[in-house]
Amino acid sequence: MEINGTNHTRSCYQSWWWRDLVNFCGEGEGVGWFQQALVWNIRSGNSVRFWEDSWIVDNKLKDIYPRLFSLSVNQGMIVGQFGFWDDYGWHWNLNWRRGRFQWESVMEEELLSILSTGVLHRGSKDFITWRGDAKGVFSVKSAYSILVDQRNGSDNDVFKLHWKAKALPKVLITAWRILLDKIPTSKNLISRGVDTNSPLCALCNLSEESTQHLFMDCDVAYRVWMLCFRWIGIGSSKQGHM
Amino acid sequence: MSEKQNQVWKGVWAAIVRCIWEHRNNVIFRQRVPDSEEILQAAHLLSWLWLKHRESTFSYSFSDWLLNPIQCLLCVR
Repeated sequence: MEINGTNHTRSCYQSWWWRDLVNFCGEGEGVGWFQQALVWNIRSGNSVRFWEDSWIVDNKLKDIYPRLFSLSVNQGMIVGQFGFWDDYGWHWNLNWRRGRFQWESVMEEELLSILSTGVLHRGSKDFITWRGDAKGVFSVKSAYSILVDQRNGSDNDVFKLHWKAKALPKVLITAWRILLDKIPTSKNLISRGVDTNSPLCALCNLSEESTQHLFMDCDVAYRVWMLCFRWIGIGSSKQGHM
Repeated sequence: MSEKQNQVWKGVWAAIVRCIWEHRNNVIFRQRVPDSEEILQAAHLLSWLWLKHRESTFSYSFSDWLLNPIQCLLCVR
């Protein structure tokens, strides 16, 4: 698989299947989880766009320095075109459309100091490594870990705490299924094509039996919560508000 | 409230939703009558049994638990 910075502009050569995959992974603009898990290792600067790819810092330089980007005459060009080699090594050389104002010069110096941390290597090619793995090698397992960590970080914490609650496992499992709305209420059964005697709540026979209704809104359930609050001494049944 | 006491309250909450669900099933499959008090009583018993047998610092009778749950809870360490 070859991913390089200029691929975005060649989408007409991509298969539909590949385009869909890239859209799913990178949401098309290189800002998705997949692109962010890739790290460019710069060698000769032959593959990576200076402004438009993330390579020396985690963000694209054009996003960090939009003003300088707009002044650059080298937009869209690769890193290796932003300097030259001589007997002493690599020298950065940025070209601008006009002279810089002083406040722009400050940014330019900042940019140059960032660039000074990057060393180009003659004769070898830029390559990509994978952030999710210590050796930089892609694996489905590490990609799965990245997704699980990113997408459900907060939810996961909630459910980790849930399992520490002081109750029987079967009770916690039922409660967990209720939180996820994975419990066979009439509404959930009907939505899966199961024939039930009645779509109405078994406790009140007035409303559709959804999870929200059965455990909160139903008069019978509501009264349970009010009695519970009275039992632990919070408020009274008159001022019941969930 | 300590982390542990917090977890006891979550356990009580879980017991209540579990008892609502069991009661709902009893109404459908065993022709029982919907009854909020019965649901809460079942949850009281379920949570008390768990605490009694699993928490060494919880030594209260069922009637203590019914009458003064906060006091019982504060002694859970």
